[in-house]
Amino acid sequence: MSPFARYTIGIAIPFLSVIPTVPLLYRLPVSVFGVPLGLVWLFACIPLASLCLAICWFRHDRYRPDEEIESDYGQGRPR
Amino acid sequence: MIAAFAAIFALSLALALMSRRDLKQRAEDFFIASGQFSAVLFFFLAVGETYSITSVLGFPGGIYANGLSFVTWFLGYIVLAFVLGYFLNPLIWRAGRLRGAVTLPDLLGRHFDSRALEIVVALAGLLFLVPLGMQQFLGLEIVLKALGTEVSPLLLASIAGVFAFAYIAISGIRASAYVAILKDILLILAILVIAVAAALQWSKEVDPVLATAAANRVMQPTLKGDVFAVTTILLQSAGFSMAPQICASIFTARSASAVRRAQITMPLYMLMFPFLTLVAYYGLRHIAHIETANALFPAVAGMLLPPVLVGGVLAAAALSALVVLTATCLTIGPLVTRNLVPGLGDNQQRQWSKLVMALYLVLSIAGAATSSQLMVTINNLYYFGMTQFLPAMLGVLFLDRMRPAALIAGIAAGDTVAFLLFEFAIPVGGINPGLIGLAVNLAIVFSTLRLAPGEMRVPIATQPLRARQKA
Repeated sequence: MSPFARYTIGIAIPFLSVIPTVPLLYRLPVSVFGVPLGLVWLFACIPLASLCLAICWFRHDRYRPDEEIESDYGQGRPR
Repeated sequence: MIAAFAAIFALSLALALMSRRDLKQRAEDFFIASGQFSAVLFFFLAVGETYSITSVLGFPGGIYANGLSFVTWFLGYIVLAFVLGYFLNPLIWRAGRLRGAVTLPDLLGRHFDSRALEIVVALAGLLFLVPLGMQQFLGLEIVLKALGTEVSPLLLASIAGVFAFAYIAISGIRASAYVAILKDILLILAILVIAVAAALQWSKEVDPVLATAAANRVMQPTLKGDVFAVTTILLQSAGFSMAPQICASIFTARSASAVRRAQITMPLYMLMFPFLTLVAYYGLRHIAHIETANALFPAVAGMLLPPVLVGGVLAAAALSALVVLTATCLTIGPLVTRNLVPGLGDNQQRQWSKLVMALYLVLSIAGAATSSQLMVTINNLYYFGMTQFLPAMLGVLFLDRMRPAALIAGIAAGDTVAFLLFEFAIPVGGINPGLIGLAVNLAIVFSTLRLAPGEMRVPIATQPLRARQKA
């Protein structure tokens, strides 16, 4: 997966699904079983965000090498 | 009801005691579990810290009091904070490891080699974390009152404070994470049970006047309201991971991939909110009057469930306050004993931190009892303040010549601008004052970066990945 695709799927799609989509949908006089369409869509954005992140993970990030960094936590003053 | 409540609290103490088995006698183990949490434990700790008692009581209470107007920014910013966290938090984890950081001021102070920046961030963090504790005790008061005991609210709050302190004393952040597992599972179950009961009883004994009023409580969109929602979502989603307690929870993770895997599933925990919305609307249709809007959730539970289940629901809500309290305590302790008073040994850090935490709990109980206006104002400023650390974090992760003095000036200016705009209600067309403060902050930092760049520091994101590395 290219970096462009990773950021588009992982950041652009979830952000655009909320801003400006939700406020715009609230302006439509449409409801689903009495619930405003904007609210239904906002609830749908929750699993959509997980799905987008899962695509980034399974198509790209799971193949990245993981680091094991041993730290010197010291006494809490800058070194 | 009380027996079920007490049994769940006893179970939480047993879990805290179980968490002791992995405990080592080092300060970093006490505060951030030496960065050894798996993706699962990190997930539970992170969502445990995200959804406090104010989410459980405040979300349905907010719908009850104001209709749907705040739902957009409330849900929007959390879901997008998790999205940004997938990309930013692994880098914050890496920065924490490479700089040997236990706290956010550790990270910034060490990266920029600036004691002044460390102190400023520690002091600002302390100031904005104080009201969080008070908020938890205000919520606890409502939950404990719903238990229907004759004991005074102050005594009940004090007992809750003792429980929070006991978790910390037993094994620090490990106890907090173990109790968070119980709390997170119980809370989801509690909300599901109430929502299913509400759906089954939806049309029974409904007051037609209330039902009509409830149906009319949909948001009437306005341009100003939309501007506020959008700017608040942008500000708070960007600032979410900058809060010292969130940074500390990121530092507990074992690896960057543990952070990523947990971030993928975090939005799914938000699926409780549609069910909480259902609970709120059930309350709107069936409850004509309530003492305070935040008491709606326990009131609906009391209407729909048998006492033993109500006890479980109230225990879940109370635990959500205690998990946030313990995590906040474990952030505030090292802010004082590592950053404001540096040079203390491992043992001294833990001992003095316990004193600081006990003091914080007492002050929070007193603050909730008096509920001073100052506390309320600071509470409103929480995100204004936390988000001002964003330019400094961007400097750590991505930029190479930032000056610590510019970062301090940016934080001071951002906080001041946001505070003045908010306090004097200066009209800005609905834009969140915190975002304007952040814009001023960024302008100062980036103009300094352009006009008078500081010394070269390799940003964390551009340092090459190494399979094994000793910092």
